[in-house]
Amino acid sequence: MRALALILLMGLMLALKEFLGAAGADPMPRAILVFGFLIMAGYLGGCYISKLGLPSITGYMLAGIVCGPYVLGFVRLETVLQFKLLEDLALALIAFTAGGELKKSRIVKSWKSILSISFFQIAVVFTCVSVGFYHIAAYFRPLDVSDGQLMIVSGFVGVIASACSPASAVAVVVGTRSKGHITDLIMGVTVLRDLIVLIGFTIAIAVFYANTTGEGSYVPTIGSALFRLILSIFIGCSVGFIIGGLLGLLRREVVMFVITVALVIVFIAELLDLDYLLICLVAGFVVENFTSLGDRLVGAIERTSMGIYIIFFAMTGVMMDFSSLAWVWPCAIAIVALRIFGTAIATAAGAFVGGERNLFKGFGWAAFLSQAGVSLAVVLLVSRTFPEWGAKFRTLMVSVIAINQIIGPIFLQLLLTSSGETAERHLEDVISKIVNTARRKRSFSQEDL
Amino acid sequence: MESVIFFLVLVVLSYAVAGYAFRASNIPFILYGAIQSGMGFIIIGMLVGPHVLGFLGHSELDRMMSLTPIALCWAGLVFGLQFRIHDLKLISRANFRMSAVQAIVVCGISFVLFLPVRYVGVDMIISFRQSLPLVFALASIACISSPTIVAAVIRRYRAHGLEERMLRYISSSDAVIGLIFFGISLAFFRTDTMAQGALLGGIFWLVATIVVGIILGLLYQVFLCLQLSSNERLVLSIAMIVFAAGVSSSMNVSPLFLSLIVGITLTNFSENKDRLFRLLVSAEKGFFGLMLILAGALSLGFEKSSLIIGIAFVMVRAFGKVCGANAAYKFVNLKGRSPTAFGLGLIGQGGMAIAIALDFIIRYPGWAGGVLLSSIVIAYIINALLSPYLVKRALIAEGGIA
Repeated sequence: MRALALILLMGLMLALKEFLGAAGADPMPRAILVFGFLIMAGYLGGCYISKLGLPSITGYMLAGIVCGPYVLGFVRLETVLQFKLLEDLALALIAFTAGGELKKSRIVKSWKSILSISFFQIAVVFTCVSVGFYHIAAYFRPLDVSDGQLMIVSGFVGVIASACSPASAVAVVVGTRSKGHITDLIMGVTVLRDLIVLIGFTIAIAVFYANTTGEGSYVPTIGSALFRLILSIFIGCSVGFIIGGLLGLLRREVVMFVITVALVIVFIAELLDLDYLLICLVAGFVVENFTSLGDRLVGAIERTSMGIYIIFFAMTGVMMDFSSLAWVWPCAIAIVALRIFGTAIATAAGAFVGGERNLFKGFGWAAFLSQAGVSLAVVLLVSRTFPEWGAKFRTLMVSVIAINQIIGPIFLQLLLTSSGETAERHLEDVISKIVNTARRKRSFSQEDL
Repeated sequence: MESVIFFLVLVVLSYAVAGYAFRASNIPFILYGAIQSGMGFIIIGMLVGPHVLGFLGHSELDRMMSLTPIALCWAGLVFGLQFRIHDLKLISRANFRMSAVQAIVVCGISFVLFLPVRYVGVDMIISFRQSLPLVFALASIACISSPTIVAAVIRRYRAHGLEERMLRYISSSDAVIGLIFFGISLAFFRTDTMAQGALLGGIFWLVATIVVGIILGLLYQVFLCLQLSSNERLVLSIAMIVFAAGVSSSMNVSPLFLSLIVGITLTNFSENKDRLFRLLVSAEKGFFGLMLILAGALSLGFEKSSLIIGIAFVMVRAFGKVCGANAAYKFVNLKGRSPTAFGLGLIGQGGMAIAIALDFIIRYPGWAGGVLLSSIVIAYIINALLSPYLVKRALIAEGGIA
């Protein structure tokens, strides 16, 4: 049946593509058409991929790649760029979920591990990747830059490599319905690491602008950046309590309410130059940990989560430019390998310091490979700030992020499955316990069930 | 983005207020009908639109209009899902015949009486050819009744009997005649009506719309045959509707008519239509509210001609409904009853009337579209205030209410 659905869908899109090509359709009808098509194609892609034991989001991305401008050409890049509002909405809802997944009681138990792993990862990955890239780039010369500029570029590559993707982590955790100590560690480290990279990068850009504009002191600029971050946290807390209060009054239309709140936050954040991801993350955390309605909020978001993830990751797939991989692949693969190496060492060291003695120490690195949102935003900012080498830099780093975004969720799901914390594994454990108990007793009883 | 947020905030607040209003007891009867018909949303739209408070400007409304096909496809699909041949066979044939006859008579009378509408324009007189789409749209909308108001009055007064059943069935089913008439007319007006081969062109687009609608219905039927969780069903339903809206916009055909075909195909080939129908109906309010707010916001930029046409529409429609009811009674040989009261009981207008008006304005955004929408909104408000009394009167006349 899925194959029939796929054939019908692709056939119809092919016919429409021929028709639209002749008619020269308006951009908005095309955008609406593509939106509906991407969800259905993404869903089918996710179904096929999950049969192979891989995460559904990989299927959504592959659907985007296949239907995108570089393969079948059903979806144009300029059409997908009109979905910026949807992308912001998706990220806001993902940030709500990420905040909602951080349960205070469980975080407090693992705070030492979370802090040590996060700091180790940032320090080691940054050092490993930036130093490694400097030497590799000196040999391969992917960018036409001087040695001095190469040091700056290496620094930026290191910063970008330090970031990972809470979106992918949340999507896989929610998709597999994972719960447990390792899941808490993964969520805590991912969120904290992204937060630190965001703060650090904001300060670094503030320093850079202060230097290039010739301002005497960059303290005011750093102060302003820190003020915006603190204000984001404060607004996030306020929004969290407001949501908690209003959710109690609403009996129905909760999903529409949550979507409206997410859009309002995005709007206010853009207006005040704040970080909406941080606001939503804090709001989700507050609702989960300081009100009794955390489950209601997360439940409402999860009702829309599948659609959000499909469109978000399918869009990511559409925007992946693999054509440029042809000339950057040696460098891109090298950066990916360095990042994996650095992450593995850092995770093992951080886990050891934090007192983790489980699977996480040896294989925890597999959870932190995905990259998306923050990394892409940093790449775009750097490429605009340095136009002389920005275009090639963007091509190289987008290729790296694309590779990480494809392999990251696969490794994360493998880790969660191996740790036994996924819902499927929980169910298998429960069933095997029942069967073993019954075998011992040679019968079933109500207690066994 | 501000307009999208504003709309969503309006809809959430509106439903919260409406919810309290419904729970409150002793609501005046006139307000009861107004709330049931969704008139409040129209008034909110008028207030926030560019002609009063100006929260939504013309550019924001234009952007929202490009998303209107999605709401229209939702409405058309929900409507089409109710027409399962197997279930329709359980309803008596007399009701069908009455519904069809009264709808056709209303359509015919409205069409003839609105032919001179092109002379109503104060600053311009449009040609007969240019006025034809407007006349067809007015005639299509005229036959649509409001099952919501009828059901609300029946519930409030606990009416029963033959008259109650007739009112309920006919008010639910006459919209399909209007929709089909509208869809056919738009297919034919897609090409230049006076050009050579226009008739063949019209037939081509009509057949194309029906064929694409059937293909989409079959595609969705295949999706629904997969083992889906409730979240997956919700997401895929939204995707199907958005896709249908995109197809209709790209082909420049009526989204209402296309989705009606999709719904009819789906309901007659799928065993899962009940779950899909319940799912779509549960989320219908949001789209309904948005549609009415948009209609209200767009409607106030009218000339005097809209007011004239709006009032004329109410009167012509009332006349047509009375004649239609009389013809229907004679056709099924019902005697000893009050067809005039029955006809006037069908005066309420359903949301489908606004939907057709919005569908029309997407295709004809100029004078014709503006005048049609404004006139229909005016008529909608008048009919929403009058219809509860007239439904009650029709039920009392036949002893449906003690």
